[in-house]
Amino acid sequence: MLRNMVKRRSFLAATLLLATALAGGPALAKEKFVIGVATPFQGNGWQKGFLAAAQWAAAELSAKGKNVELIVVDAAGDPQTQIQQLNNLTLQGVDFIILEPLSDTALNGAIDNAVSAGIPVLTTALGSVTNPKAISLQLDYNELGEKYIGYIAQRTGGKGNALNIRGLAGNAAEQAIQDAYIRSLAKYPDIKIVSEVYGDWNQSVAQQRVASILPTLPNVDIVLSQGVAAFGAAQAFLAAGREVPLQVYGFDGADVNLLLELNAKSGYESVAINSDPGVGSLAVNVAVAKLSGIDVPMKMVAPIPQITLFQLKTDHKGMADSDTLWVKYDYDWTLKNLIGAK
Amino acid sequence: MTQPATSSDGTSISRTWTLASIGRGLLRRSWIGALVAAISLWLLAGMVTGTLSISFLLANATIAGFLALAGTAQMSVIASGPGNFDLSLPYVVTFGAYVMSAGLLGQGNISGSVALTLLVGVAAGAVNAALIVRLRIPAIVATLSTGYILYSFIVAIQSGGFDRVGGLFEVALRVRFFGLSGVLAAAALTLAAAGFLLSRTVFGVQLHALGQNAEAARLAGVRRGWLLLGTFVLSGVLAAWLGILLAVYQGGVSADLGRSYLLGSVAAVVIGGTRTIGGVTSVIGTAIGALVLTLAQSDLILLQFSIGAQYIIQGSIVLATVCLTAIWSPDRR
Repeated sequence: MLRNMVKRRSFLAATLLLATALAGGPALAKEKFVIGVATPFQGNGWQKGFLAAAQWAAAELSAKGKNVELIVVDAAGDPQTQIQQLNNLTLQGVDFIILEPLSDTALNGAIDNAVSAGIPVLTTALGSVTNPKAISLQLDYNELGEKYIGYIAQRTGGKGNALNIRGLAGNAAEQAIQDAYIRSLAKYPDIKIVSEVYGDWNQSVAQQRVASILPTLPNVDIVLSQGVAAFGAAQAFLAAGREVPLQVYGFDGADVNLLLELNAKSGYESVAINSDPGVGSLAVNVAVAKLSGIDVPMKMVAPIPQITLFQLKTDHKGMADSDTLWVKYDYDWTLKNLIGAK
Repeated sequence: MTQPATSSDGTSISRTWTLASIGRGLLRRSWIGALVAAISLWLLAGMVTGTLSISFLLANATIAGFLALAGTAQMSVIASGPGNFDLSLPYVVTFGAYVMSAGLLGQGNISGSVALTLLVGVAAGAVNAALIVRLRIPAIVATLSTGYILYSFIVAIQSGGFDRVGGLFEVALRVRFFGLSGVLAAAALTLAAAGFLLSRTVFGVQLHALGQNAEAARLAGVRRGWLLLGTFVLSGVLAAWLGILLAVYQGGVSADLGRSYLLGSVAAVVIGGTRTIGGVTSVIGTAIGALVLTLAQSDLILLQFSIGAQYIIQGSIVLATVCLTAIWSPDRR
């Protein structure tokens, strides 16, 4: 413990020195920031976007003279593997760990190990952990719910039958998104959820679950979903020879292309609202800020972008199905709007 | 018999399908319980919604068709010996879908893509068999490692450009004729072919012999190595074909495409009344088992059970079937 304190002190001293050196002139130190990124699984487009955003931010910072290196590990969906990976990153002596936690409790011990070794841990994207020593950068699900339900309500006049496609059962982020939807829906009592299925955040599963109960649902005006399920749901309706109901689309290329295609065919309109994979760039920026000695709050909230059909048409036409949209947040933006925001 | 998904291969399973023995034969079938369950679940859905809907049954049969293909692939491996499972199956499914969508032999060359994808299935099966036969690695370990390797391929290639399959092939699989989809017909035909292969050919008979008693089969002249090669290639080809069908049905690919088919395939086999100790196959049973699982899922959604209760009930269905199969057929192997 004492040694850790010493290490942390010397680390602080080093950053202070660095800060004075920075203030002194452009004699930028060749100090290297090694950031461990513990991803949960790389199966879906959202995770690909998150990683791409993190790598973009690292490259951007490196171009500005801060030498940032990412070490990416993938837990293949298993919390036990993630615990081992956190411990390994700690032993390797990385400077910072960005963690997408697969559990809100199981990783607490591994986070303690890292923090007491002087390595700050930032939890983001998949949810938070109950360990208060972890810095938390969360997506603002309240804002997501308000924008998402707000758009649906505005288009339908606040009424209609909704099919609700939930995500992965038992996941904390899934529940948080769902709670946010329900809170926002309370304002519109005439929007009725007529059926609820779990799509497991998996296009294929979502499509099959919707397709299997669709014949029992003659009137569906609205589909509520969490990102990746929108494409699958639309495919289920199309395969049954039915019109695609109003639904909000995610940031996957498949989603965006489908929306553009439906719009070209029949004038179908909607928007893309999603929890933004670009939070990966925010996380890297926060890590570098923290390592540069800037005071970083323990809790931060990332914004939720809404992308209109017009923007999709002009800026994102011809995306590959396997691509994912994400917003680029640069370092200065992060300092001003995320870390500086009170 | 009102099983549109599976009636086409019923004839290939029954050996004594005469009028005199039909009633007695039907009662002795290992899948009779599953059939009763499937019909009950359909009636239950009718009660909940107020209409007994054929299109509901067909929609579920389409989904069940996919699961039945995965189940049949798994079943042939299970039949080859006690404790044999193909854990690489979900990854072969996903990888097959990617190969199909990549259009490696030129966009629009669909028959070429199908052939290449099936070849990938053959290769995956051959690698599995080589590990098991040559290096004497247990099937469960060999297929697990092949699966991991395929998963890393998938992660490596998934950012490449993948398109819809398109063409006449997509039109044919997506066509709907009174609610009966092209993809369901394709699945049913494949199951019929697999049923024929397993019950009416030398390969099938030897496979059963090997699974029932490996030593006796060896003495009778069955060549274990070649037979296992055939079994795992069959499993790989069925999985790759499932990947093709899913890629078309879904209109795109994702890296988690096959994820739900590992446990689902084993569950479909078990509910179909096939015991997992090897040496037994029933394609029609597996197909009905898949239908039971799919209908049960839909019914639980219609009944608005909480997700926790849904998992408990699904688990209980599998457990109850295993127990009943064990109790009712103590002499069956």
